[in-house]
Amino acid sequence: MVPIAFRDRPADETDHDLVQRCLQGDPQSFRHLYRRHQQRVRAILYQRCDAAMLDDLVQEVFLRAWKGLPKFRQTAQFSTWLYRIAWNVASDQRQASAQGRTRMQVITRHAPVQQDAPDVLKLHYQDLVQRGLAHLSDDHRTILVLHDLEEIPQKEVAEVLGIPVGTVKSRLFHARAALRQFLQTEGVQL
Amino acid sequence: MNQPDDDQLVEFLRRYRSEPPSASPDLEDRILSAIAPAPIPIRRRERAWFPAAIAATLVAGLLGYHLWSPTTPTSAELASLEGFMQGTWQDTVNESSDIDWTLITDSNTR
Repeated sequence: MVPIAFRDRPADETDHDLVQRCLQGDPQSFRHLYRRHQQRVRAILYQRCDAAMLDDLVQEVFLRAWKGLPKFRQTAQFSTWLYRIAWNVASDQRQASAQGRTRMQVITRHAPVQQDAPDVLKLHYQDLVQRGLAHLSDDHRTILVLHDLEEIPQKEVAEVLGIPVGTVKSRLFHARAALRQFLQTEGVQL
Repeated sequence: MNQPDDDQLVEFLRRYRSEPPSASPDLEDRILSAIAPAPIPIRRRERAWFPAAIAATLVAGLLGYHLWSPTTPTSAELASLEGFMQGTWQDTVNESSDIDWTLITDSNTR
């Protein structure tokens, strides 16, 4: 059941407004921030971590965000700051994880379940894209996920990763080239 | 700016990307209940400096007053000062009386 205070809140409230309310002790504003950003946070984590741990990692990201709100610089974008936390959580998880199975094994186990009437060609291409992303280095995969899949602008990607915009452009160029080459070897010309 | 084939590649990636598995239905409430007993810590440091600064200013003012305020001279100091002034004043008078003003006057009139 949705709380009345949350239901009545105007949808056009900015992240900044919601953060201010959170700092005044209103957890329902944080619920709104969660709903607004959880999809992208999930997608970022999904490309770098074990899908079986996704819910726990999402929870970790938002808990870290809640605790870190007093330190959040109001001049920065909340989304950039949050994605950076997601990035850090994913990095921590990757370092801590000593699992033998690869992410691809997890994906191939989960992906077909989501399709009621799977299109064989579509599944084939989905598999290619996932294998292509897995084939890339972590840096290149991250750039493609943030910029090309999540459509985060280059300047914001640079802030999330703490690297210059020029480096983002360079990595993007090489990541696309590597992925294109992979797809070509699999018979897909783009 | 994207190359034309970059656009094709990106479009292909977006169309055939795998979506992450859906969140469990209770995840949102789980997160909200986890933050409920942990209120956002107020940054007390930012507020603590103000009374501390006032206290430091008062202490510095009192110390400065005691160190640099003029003190009343003792009777011995006053007597010493008076003696010094008398001595130097007399020396001044004596020195000026040594000058032979008449000689100067005489030489000017000649």
